[in-house]
Amino acid sequence: MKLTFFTQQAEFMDILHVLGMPGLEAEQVSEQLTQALHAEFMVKGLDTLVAEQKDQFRNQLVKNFHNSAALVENLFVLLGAGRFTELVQASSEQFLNRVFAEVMPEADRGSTLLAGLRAKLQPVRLEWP
Amino acid sequence: MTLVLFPDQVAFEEMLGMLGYSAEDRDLYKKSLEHYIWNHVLREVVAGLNDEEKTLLQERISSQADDAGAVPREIACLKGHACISDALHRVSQKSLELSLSQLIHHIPADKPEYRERLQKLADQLQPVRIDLTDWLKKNEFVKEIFKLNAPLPATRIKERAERLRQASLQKLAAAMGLPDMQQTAVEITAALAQHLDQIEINLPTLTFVDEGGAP
Repeated sequence: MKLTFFTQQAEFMDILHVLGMPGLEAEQVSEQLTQALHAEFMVKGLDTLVAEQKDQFRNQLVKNFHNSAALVENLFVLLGAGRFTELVQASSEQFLNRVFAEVMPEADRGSTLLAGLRAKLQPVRLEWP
Repeated sequence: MTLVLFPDQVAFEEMLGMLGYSAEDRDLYKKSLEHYIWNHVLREVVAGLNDEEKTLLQERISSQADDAGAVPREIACLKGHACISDALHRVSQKSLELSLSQLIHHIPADKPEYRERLQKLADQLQPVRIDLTDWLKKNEFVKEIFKLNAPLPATRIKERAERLRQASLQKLAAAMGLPDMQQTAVEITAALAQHLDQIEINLPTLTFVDEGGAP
């Protein structure tokens, strides 16, 4: 499962394409935004932890400084699946709005065309197996 | 002005329909393609100007800032209508070929006959040729998309996306109590991406804690 800020990644690429961005650059922008989303999600996750859990996580950070995967897994366990799912969905929705407000503001969208494409983008909805 | 993308516009719309595009999506697709073509035409034309011509163009349009249509009009004065018309011909050819090649990938696996119909349309493809004389006098579409004095939208988007990424990583590093270690934030977000790929596998083996912290 990939965490993206909307389910229709191809539609987003279309928007960048319409704005004159070559395919490779569009992929880079998509990657930049995905990394930003992951960071925002992690911040939200940390904010959600109670003080004791935060300390636990930070201790893990000191011990497992070079083991990022373990840190992430630790956060996942601390949050729990339900909270994790809520946060993914909330982060996705908020981030999608931010992308259109900050990265692709109205002046550049410029037309009903891109507004129409924006309306088609949906935030992530997680469904566990 | 609407570009006629194919000699047989109806067949083109039918093709989009058979690939699952609704009427609204077909219209959106055509407008996207049109938008893309004009954007590239104007970029290509401006890129082809020498420094002196660019300076002259800037001077000429600076007094017409509210009229984006002034840009192609002034280019036509500088270089002749054929300059824009030829660029339109070249760009539309490339764009339509690209579009068709992308559409082929959307053909459902159980509809191989669509490929033949699409290929037939591709064989009919004719790049756009228009007389720009009257069109250049007033064109709402160009006004909408073209702003020479500012960086192109794609460039601005790349810059803003990078700013957002940097800001988010700094926020994460600060939240972890490591404000000067943005690289760690990069590594952790990369690990998060990798970890999310494995969640379905790992899920049954993880022990979750509830929101109160009890296992």
